[in-house]
Amino acid sequence: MEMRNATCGYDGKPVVKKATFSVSEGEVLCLLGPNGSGKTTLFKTILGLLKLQNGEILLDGVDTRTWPRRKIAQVIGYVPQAHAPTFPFDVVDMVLMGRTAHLGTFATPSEEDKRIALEAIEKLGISYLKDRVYTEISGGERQLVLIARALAQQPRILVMDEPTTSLDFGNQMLVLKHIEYLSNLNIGVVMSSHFPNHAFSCASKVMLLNKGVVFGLGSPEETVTEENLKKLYGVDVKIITASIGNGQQARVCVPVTKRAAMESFTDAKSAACYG
Amino acid sequence: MSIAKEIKTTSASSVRWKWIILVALPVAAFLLSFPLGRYPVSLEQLITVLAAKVFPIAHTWPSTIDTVIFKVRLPRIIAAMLVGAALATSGAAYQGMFKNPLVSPDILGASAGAGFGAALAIFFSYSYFGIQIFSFLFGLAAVMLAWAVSSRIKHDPMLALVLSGILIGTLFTSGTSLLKYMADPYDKLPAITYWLMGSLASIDNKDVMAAGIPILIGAIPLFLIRWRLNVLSLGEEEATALGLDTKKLRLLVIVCSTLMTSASVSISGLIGWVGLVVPHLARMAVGPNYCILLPASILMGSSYLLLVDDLARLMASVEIPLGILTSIIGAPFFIILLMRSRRGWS
Repeated sequence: MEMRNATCGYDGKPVVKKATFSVSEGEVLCLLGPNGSGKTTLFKTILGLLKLQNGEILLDGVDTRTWPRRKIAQVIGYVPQAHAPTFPFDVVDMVLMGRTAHLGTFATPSEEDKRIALEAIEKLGISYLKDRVYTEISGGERQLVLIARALAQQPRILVMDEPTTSLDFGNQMLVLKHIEYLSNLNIGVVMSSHFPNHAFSCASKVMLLNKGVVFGLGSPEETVTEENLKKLYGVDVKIITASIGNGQQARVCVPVTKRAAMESFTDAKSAACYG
Repeated sequence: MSIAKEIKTTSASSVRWKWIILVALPVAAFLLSFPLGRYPVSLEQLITVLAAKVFPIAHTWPSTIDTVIFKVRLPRIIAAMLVGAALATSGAAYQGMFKNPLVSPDILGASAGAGFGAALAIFFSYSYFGIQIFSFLFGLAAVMLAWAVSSRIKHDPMLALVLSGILIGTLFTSGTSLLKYMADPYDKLPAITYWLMGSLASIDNKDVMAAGIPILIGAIPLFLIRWRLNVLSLGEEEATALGLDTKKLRLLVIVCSTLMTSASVSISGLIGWVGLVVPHLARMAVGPNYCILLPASILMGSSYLLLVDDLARLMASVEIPLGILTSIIGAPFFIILLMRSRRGWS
C-alpha cells in the first residue's frame, strides 16, 4: 500500500499534509507523534472512513478511492482500541464479524467462515475465550479478540490504532509479540503508538508525525533518535543499547529526568527483558 | 475435560428446550385464544370447525360458531400476532442500529405521525378505511421528514437521526393535540382519544390483509440481513471498516421498520412498550446475536401481544384498550426484568 502526497482531514480542514509513505506485506510501520498530530486522521483515511482531500492511495499501484466498501475491507483490516460494544456478543460471534467483507448482503456466515474464525482465535492462543462473553473479558483479552477478528478478515494490510494503549505491561508485550507474528504471516501492519520503545521492539519502519507533517521516515535506528524525540515530544531522552541475553541487544529509549533517573533505568531494563 | 463436556451438552439441551418453548408459545397462545370470549366455543368445537375446512365433515354446529371463529376471533388473533411480531422485530432492529437498548420502533416519529394521520381522518369524518390509509401514510411521512432533516445535520449521523425523529414526533403530537382541541367534543374527540389508546376490537379480515402485506414486505428484508445487524450495532466506524455499507443498510432498516410500524399502528392504534420490552426478553432468552434474536423476537412478540389482547377482551365486562394494557403490564414487567438480569443488557 502506498500513499502519495496525501492530504487528509475534514471538509477543507487539512489535518495531515502531503504524507508520502508505503507499507508492503510483512512490514510493520509504526507511527509516532504527540496527541493531535493526525495519526488517527491518517488511519481513517487509509481505511476509507474519511475522504482523501488530495493525493493518492494506491494498492498494488491501483487507486482505491473509487472502490466500494467491501472491496477495501477485503484488503485492509482494522483493529480499533479495545472497547465495550452495547450488546454482549460471544467472542466467537465477535470474531465471525471479521467475515463481513467476504459475505454477500443476505448471507449469514457459513461453516467455512466459522472454521476461519476459530482458526484465527487459535492462532492468537485465546481458544479458552471462545465461548466467553466479549463484554466480560479483560481489556487485554479484548484487544486479542479484535486482532483475531482482523485475522478472520484475511487482509493484506492491517491498521492498528494504538493497540497497546490502556493495556497493562504484560499485555502490551503480548500484543507486540502478536504484531510480529502478523508480519510473519506476510501481513503489512500500520500501527500507532505512544511508546518509542514499542517502535524498537516490533517496527521495521518508523514514521514521525508532528502537527500533520511527516518529519521522519525510515528504519527505527535512523528515525527514533534522541534529537527527533526531543523535537517530537519536547522531552530529553537517551537511547541506549541493552544486552538482553543470548548475545542479543535491544535499543531502549530512556527519558532524562534527574529525579526519575534511577527509576527509568530499572524500567528500561525490565522493558529490555521483554522487548 | 469431562466436566467441560458435560457443561457443553447441558447447555446444548437447554438451548433446544428454549427453542421448543419459543415455538410452542405462539402455537399454544393461538389455540388458546379461540375458545376465550363471551360467546363460548370449546376446544373440541374449534378443532372440528377447523378440520371441516380441510376434511368433509357434516355441518352439525350452529353457523354462529363459524362466524365467531372465522369473522371475529380469527382476524383479531392474526392481527394481534402480526402487530406484536412487527413491533418486536422493528424494535429489535432499531436497538441494534442505534446501538441503544432503550430505543423503540417509534423513535423516528412513526407512531406520532400515524396518530396525527388518524386524528386528521377522524376530524374530517372519513371512513374507517380512510383512517387506516391516513395513519399509514402519515406514519411514513413523519419518518421520511425526520430522515430528510437528519441528513442536513452535520454531526454524528445516528445522533442526528434520533434528534430529528424526536423533533418531528413532537411536531406531529402537537398537531394531534391541536386537532383534539378543535374537534367536536361529543363525537370526534372521544373517537380520536379511543383510537390513540390502541385497540384491535374492530378488526376484520380485510384489515388483516391490508396491514399484513406491508408488514411482510418490511419483515422479509430485515430477516435476510439480520446477521449484518450484529455488525451494524458495533457502530458506524467499525462496521464500515469491516466492509459494511452502513449508509445503505441503515436506510434499508429504516424503510423496513417504518413500513412495519406504520402498518401496525394503522390497524391497531398506538400500542407502546411491545417494541421495547419484547426484544429485551428475547435477548435474555437467546442472547444478542441477531441471527437468532430476530426469529425469537418474532415468536415472542406475537405471543405477547396476543396474550395481552386476550386480557383486554376478558378482564372486564367492557374491553380495555390494548395500548393501555401493554403499558400497564409492560412497565412493571420491564422493571422486574432489569432488576433480575445479571448481564446488563443481555
